[in-house]
Amino acid sequence: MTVTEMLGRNYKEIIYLALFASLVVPMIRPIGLPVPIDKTTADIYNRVDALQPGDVVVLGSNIGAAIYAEVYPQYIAIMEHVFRKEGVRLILVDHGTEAPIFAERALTELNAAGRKTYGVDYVHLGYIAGDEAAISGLCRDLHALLQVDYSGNSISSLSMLDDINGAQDFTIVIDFTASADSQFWLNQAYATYGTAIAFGLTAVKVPDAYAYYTAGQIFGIVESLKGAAGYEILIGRPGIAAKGMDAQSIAHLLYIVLMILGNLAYFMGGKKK
Amino acid sequence: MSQIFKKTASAVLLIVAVVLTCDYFIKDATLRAVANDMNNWAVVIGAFALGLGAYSLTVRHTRAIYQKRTTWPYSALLLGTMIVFIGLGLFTGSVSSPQYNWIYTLIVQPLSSALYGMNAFFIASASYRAFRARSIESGLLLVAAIFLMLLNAPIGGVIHPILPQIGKMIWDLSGATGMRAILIGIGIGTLAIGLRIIIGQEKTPLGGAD
Repeated sequence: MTVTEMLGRNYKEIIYLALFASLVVPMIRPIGLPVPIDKTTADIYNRVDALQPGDVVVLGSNIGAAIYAEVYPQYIAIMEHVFRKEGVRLILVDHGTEAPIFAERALTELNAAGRKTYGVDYVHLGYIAGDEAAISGLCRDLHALLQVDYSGNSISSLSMLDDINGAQDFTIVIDFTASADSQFWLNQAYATYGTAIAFGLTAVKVPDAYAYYTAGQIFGIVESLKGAAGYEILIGRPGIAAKGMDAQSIAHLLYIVLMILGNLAYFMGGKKK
Repeated sequence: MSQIFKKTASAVLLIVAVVLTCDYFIKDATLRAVANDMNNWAVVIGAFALGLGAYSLTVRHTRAIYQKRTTWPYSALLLGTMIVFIGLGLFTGSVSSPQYNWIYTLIVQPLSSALYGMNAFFIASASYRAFRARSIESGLLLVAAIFLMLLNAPIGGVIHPILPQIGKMIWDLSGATGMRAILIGIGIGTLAIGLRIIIGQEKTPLGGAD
């Protein structure tokens, strides 16, 4: 068999197996490749780190099972960082029907109830239907929009929210998503009230947001698993994202090798396919 | 009847649009209160839409089962799953209850992640079979893709520090600028269609051009 014939064969099963191995082996036996810290991630870290007692952080989330692997590590790393800042108040709000599950899971994983006081240091408002209208309502007057929080507590009973009415009182907003609700925050909070916005996104959503970042309309982006890994390193709490970076590296390398081999087959085979 | 409905809907749309637009530019307490109320109606309608979606799904798939269409087992599975999840949520009072979490974490999350993760395998296969430098343009795309992949994985910097820098240059110069042009185009298009809807020239959102 000639090299051309060999390259021209269909290697689907072998490719799948190689990819599987390139993902699984580094997870079992980590290589420990250095994780680069992007400027977009460092900007968020610096902004969160500079928060003062009394500041208000809003973490919006549209995390669902499909994007869990990429975005949840970002969400929990930033939430941990916020919890370390004494006196900083945290509001969790969900834009997707599955998001409350992950918000509650993150609070449990970080032992929020043991470290902070609910209603004083943090609140979970839950899922609000209505997409952009929901975010607009939250920015305008959250007391007029909501009667109860996620657990059914009256909003008026949560002392933390006494002096927080809307976007003018939010110090920063960070939205975690793979869909359009990041844009909604830009429209409703940044454009109208000038609230500082940042995003935690899946890789495919980053190019949209990057245009806003370079224009100075958002102050940072946590870019997919790589951004999450960077943030974990910055807060000194390496987790699942940092562990996943070795697998991502080897998989990317495999893709590049496959592209080169595919093109070799194409050119050596006389550009037949 | 349909014409009356459409005219009424057009009038409501016009009033809401004018109030919300004025509220953006004019700082007035009364106007703000009216705009807030209108905005909150949209949130309530959004919540109703979820219920309507569930109703519509139930009717459609019940019909499929009743008529014994070829896909009826899938419809039955969908309805069964929906009933279990809604029932569990109502029974336990929360989507964060251990029972709900158990069924979500062990069934929905792995299935959904697996479906999303399968893309990686399709991309791997496509990398070999389809990503070919058939022209100068596709060749440039191929080279850019390689550098961007090396930018997005730590291995790029390990192979050579200049590789991620080239990727970053491609990303900044062509990726961000191209996307900005697209976003500005979308913005202008949205503004134009919004104005057409407000002044009644665009009938599509109200159910057609007639």
